[in-house]
Amino acid sequence: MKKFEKFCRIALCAVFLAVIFGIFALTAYRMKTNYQGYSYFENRNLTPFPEVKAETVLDGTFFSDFEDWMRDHVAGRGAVLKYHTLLNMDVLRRPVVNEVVMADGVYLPYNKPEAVDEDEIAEYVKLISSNLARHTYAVRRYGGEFYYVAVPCQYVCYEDSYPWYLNSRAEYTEKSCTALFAALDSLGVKYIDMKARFEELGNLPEFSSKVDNHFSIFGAYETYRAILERYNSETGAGLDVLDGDEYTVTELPNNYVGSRTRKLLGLRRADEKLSLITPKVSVPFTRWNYGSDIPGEPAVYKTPQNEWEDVLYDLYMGGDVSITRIETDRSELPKILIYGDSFTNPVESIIWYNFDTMWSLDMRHYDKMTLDEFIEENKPDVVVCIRDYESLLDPYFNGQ
Amino acid sequence: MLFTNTDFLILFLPLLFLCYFIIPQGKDGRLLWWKNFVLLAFSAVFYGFNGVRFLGLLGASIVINYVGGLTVTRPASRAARRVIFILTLVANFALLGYFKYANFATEVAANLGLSVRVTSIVLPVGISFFTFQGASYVIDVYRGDAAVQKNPLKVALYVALFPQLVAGPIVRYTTVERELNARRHTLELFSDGVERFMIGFAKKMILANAMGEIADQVFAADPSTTAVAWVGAIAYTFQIYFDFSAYSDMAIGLGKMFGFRFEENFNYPYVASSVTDFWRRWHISLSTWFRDYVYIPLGGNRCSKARHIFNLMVVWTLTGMWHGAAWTFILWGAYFGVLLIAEKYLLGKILPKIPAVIRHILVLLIVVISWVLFRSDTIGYAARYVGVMFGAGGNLFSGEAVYYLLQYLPEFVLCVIGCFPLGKLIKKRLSDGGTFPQIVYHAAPKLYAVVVFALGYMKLVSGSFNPFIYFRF
Repeated sequence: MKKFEKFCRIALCAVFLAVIFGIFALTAYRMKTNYQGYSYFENRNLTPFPEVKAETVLDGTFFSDFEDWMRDHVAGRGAVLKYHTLLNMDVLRRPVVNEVVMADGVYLPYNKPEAVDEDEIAEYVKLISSNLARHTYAVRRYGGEFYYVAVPCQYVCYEDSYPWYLNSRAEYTEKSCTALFAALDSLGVKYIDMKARFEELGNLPEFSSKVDNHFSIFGAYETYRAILERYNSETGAGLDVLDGDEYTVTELPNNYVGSRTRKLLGLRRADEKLSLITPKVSVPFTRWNYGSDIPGEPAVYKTPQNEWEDVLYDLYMGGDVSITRIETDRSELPKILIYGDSFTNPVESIIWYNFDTMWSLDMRHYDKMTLDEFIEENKPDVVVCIRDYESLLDPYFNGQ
Repeated sequence: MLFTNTDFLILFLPLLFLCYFIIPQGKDGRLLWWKNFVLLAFSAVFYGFNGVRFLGLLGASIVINYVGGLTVTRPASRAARRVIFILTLVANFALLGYFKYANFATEVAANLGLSVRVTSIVLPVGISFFTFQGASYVIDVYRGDAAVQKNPLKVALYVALFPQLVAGPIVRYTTVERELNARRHTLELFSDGVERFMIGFAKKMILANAMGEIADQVFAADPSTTAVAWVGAIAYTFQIYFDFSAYSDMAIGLGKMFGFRFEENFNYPYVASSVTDFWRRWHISLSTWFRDYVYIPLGGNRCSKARHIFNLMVVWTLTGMWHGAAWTFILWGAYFGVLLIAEKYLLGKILPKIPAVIRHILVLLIVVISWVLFRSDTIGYAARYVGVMFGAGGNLFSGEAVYYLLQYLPEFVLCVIGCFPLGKLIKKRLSDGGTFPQIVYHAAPKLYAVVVFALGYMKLVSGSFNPFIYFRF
């Protein structure tokens, strides 16, 4: 038994030392041969090596940043993240894994418990609605139209899929929308509530992704229809809204990695595919990105090279771009400016077809001029702001 | 740097092992000087990772205690020795007072309307631990309980030894005196240390941090319902035990790897049957420090009843203050002082008559409430929180509490199990058994340590919530 005891002791020490020395050596080797700066599934840049400054060394900031850097670059990190996620999903069966709610067949965002503060909502409603009223008056001054489009994000569409004990934000959604729409009505800001429209058309979840925060191309198409129908009815512009027989829907066979499945490190897949909507009658166009003078690729979809490649939501318009301009050289048609977060992208993939010029702005990235200045300089006939329910009351960037 | 940091585990520790164990043990211990030097150098690096500027403070503490120890025994006259002794203690506690209590004191003075500028001094990590350690050395030398250490390297190593530097236990000089001068490194000691470290690491990463996530969320605002308040309070009760005892486990384990044997710091405190019993099991190194260096010198219990009550209140108020410079900590200490006095003078005869289960539940209730006070930023918040726990908030139940319980169910179950000395009992049974139980006795704990360490490492690398809760100590 003494020998066995000794064996156990040696084995334990050997394992421990092998682990710490092994990881130490592998990490050093990896740094030299295969240094990575980006984590695809986490969708973030890995911590860079901290700058050595006397001040940060003295106050300890350098060393805490060094620890962040080390943890991000330790050998085998990718595998450890996957095993950790698998353990939580399949062994421990936690209701929430990597901030994703593991609902039945759908992966939803985890919303922290919250006490809905109506005073705070009122404060933000006042701010946002006054911003939108300012844009409305600015556009009307030169004879244009301004529309604010509120689109339901994933947690709104799948409110009923949340386990009862988790926060679906139903109360917040209801109170913030009611307050905002009432304020917009009182200020004369034209708005379209896509939740109401989706509900009229059928089931809310049909228009949303199961694995991502955004709506599907069908949700985007209905949004496109709603904007154009409203514009036509109010201005008599007579724009030709693409009907079912005027476009083709192409479902991509590729695996769709939504933001939720991405958070689950690609270890869960939904049977959901991304689709494209393409007008049957093609219209030539030129596209400029980032305000460049040189036209880029005349495409509104970033299609994958092959069927095996994963596709992301940046399929639509190539993802979030600070500024994009598409021109179709049909001066008889109006010009449109769309601004907002990434919900604008699939709508833009379709709506450009009906306009002479389409500008797309994402004020999270665009810093050349303010939105007011941009509108004043370009005077679009139609200005559309698209915001999802989660950011309805966010006054920053596209909420300015 | 912390034991649960990647840089500690896969950079600091391998390099230290290399540098330390490359020096042969040497039969007459002559090479121990080099081993001590390596340990001291790495301890300085370890502490320097929290900010190099604080190394000067650690150095000052070492110098004060080294010089104090050296000079306190020199003068022939008792009065002169006493003066040196008092000066050394004043210097020690002046550093602690300035860095830890100046902000609080100026804040209190400003609140009282005095025209003082409220300071914002950064609290150096571990200052309470190394100050108490250093002071204990000087006191022991002054009292004649320990021989003066003339080698400054050894005093420096005693004060700055990295395993216990930032989160204890408070190691008494007499505990490690012999090992500073001569120690052996054996497979038994090293492997025991590895096992203890691995288990401590896992306790912190798997249990304490999960409970900390709940506690941080609940304590971030007023709890929404009674159920949430209880879940948050219980989670914090688990967090502080598994976090603190995990650090002690890791410290004891690391100490063993380098040939030191530190005293135990926790002994399953949540199975205590009275508040007195709880404090015999909780943060033992701190309570014994206060017992030996404050309570007994004040007169202990060999005095009048009134004086004894005074002594207890002084000790427990100081114990509270040791944990942090805030009214909540002072009240927390006083709370235990009052309870201990009550147990001693009012409930001494009643308690044994109460069924054991009820006694345990009562102690747990007292402890849980104490942790609410301890965790709260203000006394007002603590009062509101405890109010909600007992239904004052109006709402009794919400999904939030169910979420915490379901999300962290495995951790809650393990925490409950981990509060009982089951492992100890099983080990004892196995050690008395035949061949197979003996095999299990030797192999199972090591296998268990490896598995839980792997799980803990997974949590570390995945960047899970990993707080250090002793910054206020």
